[in-house]
Amino acid sequence: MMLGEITPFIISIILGILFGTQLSGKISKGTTVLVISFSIVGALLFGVFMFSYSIYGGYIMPGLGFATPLIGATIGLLIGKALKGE
Amino acid sequence: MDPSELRGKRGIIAVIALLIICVGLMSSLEKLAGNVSPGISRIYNILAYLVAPNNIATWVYDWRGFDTLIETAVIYVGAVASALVIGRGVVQMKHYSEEAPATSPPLEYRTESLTVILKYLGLPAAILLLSYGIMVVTASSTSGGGGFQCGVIMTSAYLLAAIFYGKDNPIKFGKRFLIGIGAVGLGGYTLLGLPGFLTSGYWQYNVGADIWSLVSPTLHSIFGDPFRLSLYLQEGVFYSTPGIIPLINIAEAFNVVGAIGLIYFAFLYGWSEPPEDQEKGGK
Repeated sequence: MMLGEITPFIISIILGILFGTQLSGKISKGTTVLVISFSIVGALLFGVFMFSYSIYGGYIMPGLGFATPLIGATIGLLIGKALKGE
Repeated sequence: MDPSELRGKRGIIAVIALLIICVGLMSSLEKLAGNVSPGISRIYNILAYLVAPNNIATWVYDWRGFDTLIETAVIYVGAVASALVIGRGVVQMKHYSEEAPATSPPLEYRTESLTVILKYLGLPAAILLLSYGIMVVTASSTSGGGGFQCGVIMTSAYLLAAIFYGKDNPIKFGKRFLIGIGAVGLGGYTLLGLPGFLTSGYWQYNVGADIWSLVSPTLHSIFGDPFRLSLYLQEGVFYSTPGIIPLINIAEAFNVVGAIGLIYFAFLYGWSEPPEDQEKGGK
């Protein structure tokens, strides 16, 4: 695995936390599950980023992979909301 | 969600519309398979190094880069004009200093005006748009752009949530946040050129990629290794890194979020300086 395969995922979580702190209101469990589920489906549809060949980069097999930054961003947003969101 | 809300003509139309959208979206995505050529444009790779001493200069400061930079400048001018027109509190125009800032009727949260789909999927859609924007900018390690698009997508999420929820906007990009993130983006965009200038003499020389071998291995490693990828090509296996390009894209994304976000903020909530620095729709 090359470091470049996992760096976008880490950055997406950091950016997600940053912008998640600006979310307000109550996010129910149902909404949380919905958002994470849609992210996983979206990540599958977008596919793995170019030149990622490891499971950490979202690569499963040829033609099948996940855009892990999409999932990471959603998780980051929810973490940011939980940390500082009003 | 209460299933009883789906009763009636309105609910039936909403469900049918959602089904049509789902089918259309899935069909479009399925047709995209094999027809998209992701990554860096071949033209850039073939011509870039012939145009300027280093690739990053060609990318960032060619017609496309200038286009982006000037677009951002235009947006900032728009933000200033919005603040001038909509609210005069911060701008402190002497002629109007004794007049009250222009006010608009408050945006009300009226759930009865929202369809069932918008009521329950508005917030998830806004959050997913934010996630999508972040995904776009993180993909810039294998492509030339992403920053401007990310900014536009994220501010679209802000606008979408504002349209749905009015003053109860769940995405509370306040003035301080937008100004701060715009400033960080603009400053970061500029300062990322400093390492290259100090070590090679070329502003924004890509110290991470270091195509001309001008910088120390340590600096090369610091900026290059985090984004290094292995490229399995017909000619063999190569190891390549975009260097500082992803960082520049993130800075550009911050810049655009700040610029466009300020315009939306000024138009939606007005621009004034409350006594206790309490912002509408923000901190």
